[in-house]
Amino acid sequence: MARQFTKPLSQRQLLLEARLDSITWVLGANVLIWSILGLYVVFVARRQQKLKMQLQQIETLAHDHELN
Amino acid sequence: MPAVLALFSSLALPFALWMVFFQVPTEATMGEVQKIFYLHLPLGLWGLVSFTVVFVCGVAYLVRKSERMAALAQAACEIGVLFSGLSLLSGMLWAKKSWGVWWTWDPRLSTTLVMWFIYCGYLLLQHIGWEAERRNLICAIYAIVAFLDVPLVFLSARIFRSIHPAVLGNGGLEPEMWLTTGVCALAFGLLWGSLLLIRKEQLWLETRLAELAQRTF
Repeated sequence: MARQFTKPLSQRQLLLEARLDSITWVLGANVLIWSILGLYVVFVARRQQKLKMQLQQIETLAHDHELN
Repeated sequence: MPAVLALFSSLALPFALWMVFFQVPTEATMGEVQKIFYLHLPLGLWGLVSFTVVFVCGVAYLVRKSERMAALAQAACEIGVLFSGLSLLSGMLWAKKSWGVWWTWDPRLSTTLVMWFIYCGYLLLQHIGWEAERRNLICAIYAIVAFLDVPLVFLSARIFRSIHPAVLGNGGLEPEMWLTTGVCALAFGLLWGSLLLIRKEQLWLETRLAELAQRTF
């Protein structure tokens, strides 16, 4: 009966497996999810700032119109 | 109101994370990787709630023709796409570790992906350069038709043969796990509520400003 050999893992693969244990995986997932949520919050905050500036411009224009 | 919700969510979310990482016991079969569940379930749940809001607003728009309802529907859809997309992503990360694959064409996963694409379509419709009234009308009808997939997503793991577990109503979790799940769902709910109200006001204001600009120039 022929002996079966499994291909040994390379040094890089072993290192990767050791690194990506469960806790690291969970932490990585959390970092990814929270980063995307954070990006959306930044997008909302920037939109808010832009709207605030637009409203200020309109108020200034309305004020100038009243003066004239 | 949005500021109060945002304040509470900024307190509740770190507390929920503390519970996930330091309080809740580790699941016996899957180990630490099961902790992704505490992100995955609330994101999926609030994603479905978002799409229910889009449906209700669609009906309300057809009845009352309210601009505020259209803005609320758009905001809910945007947040729904974000939350359900993140739920899909967290599910893929969890599946890779526990099932050994990133994706499988399971009924729950497939219906969720279809739902995600349908609501991406809704967001695309919102950005087509139609006049506001026509756009809102078409989007309201689209929202009502699109909602057909939402109950299917929720029931898919129960109706069809699915490897995705149906957690709600089936038990299977320790009381501490349920408590943490509840806290996470509440914390994400506060974040969802604050984002929804802020985005709704922004979108409504943007519409008003666009109308003002059209009348002036």
